[in-house]
Amino acid sequence: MRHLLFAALVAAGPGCSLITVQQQPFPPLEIRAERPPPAPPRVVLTASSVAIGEKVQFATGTAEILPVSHGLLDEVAKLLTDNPQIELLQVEGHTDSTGTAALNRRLSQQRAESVMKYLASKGVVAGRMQAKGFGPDKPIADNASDDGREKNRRVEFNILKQGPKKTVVRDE
Amino acid sequence: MNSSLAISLGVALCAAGCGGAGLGADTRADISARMTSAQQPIAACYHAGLKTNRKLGGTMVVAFAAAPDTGQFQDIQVTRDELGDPGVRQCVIDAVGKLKLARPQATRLAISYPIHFAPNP
Repeated sequence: MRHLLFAALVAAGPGCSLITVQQQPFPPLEIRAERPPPAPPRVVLTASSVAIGEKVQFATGTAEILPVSHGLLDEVAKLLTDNPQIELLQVEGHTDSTGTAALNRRLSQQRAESVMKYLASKGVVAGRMQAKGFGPDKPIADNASDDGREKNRRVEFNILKQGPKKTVVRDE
Repeated sequence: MNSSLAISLGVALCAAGCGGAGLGADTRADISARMTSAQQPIAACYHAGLKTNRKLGGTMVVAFAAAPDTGQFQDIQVTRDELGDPGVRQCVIDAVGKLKLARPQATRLAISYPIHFAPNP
């Protein structure tokens, strides 16, 4: 403590010769910057599908949805709730061609069901959805490359049946 | 920790006990000019913060010292932060830490400087 007091006195100095303290406040430095454009929506309703701008992520080799994808699926659930004209949505699981087709079909089916269950837990009526695992049967890219296999591992939401647009009335 | 406390005590003793003339007009102008010269890097800090929070804005007050003889800005601390973005705060500290007075003084200067952030309308 003595050392501290000594240091303070030295810092203050005889007649305050060592430190000059600002007496009057400075006017603020004004900083302006452009707001970046809003991020494009991650979930978009098209004529025949609910398109998602990023992938649903699962734990490797399982149907466990990773928490990082919960927000995305929450947006899908909201879109379905806001669009009751979508009467039947097929949640589709797809894999790449690595491993046996049978195993991939089973895993993709489990993943599609896992997504469906998650959406139901968020208020989407389960009867409006069905799950189907296609395994490696519907590739959208070349399975010969890492990039192609990454694209093929995916979840899609395709609209199988829809009625006329209905208006959603929300409680205040 | 002890040294910063000692300096704070020293500043308090000096401010309370001796008063003094404070910063001269030329020194104040020098400090303002240095801070203004950092407007662009600080705006870049803010722009980065706006990417994650489009409503980010408010006042941040940085307290620092200008070293005797060199004029280097050092011991930079944020004493008020309405933005609450740790990334922006650290970025501003780094930007201010690169500044030094054009006309260094013989004494150490204790400075507190407000920065106001607002997005372009």
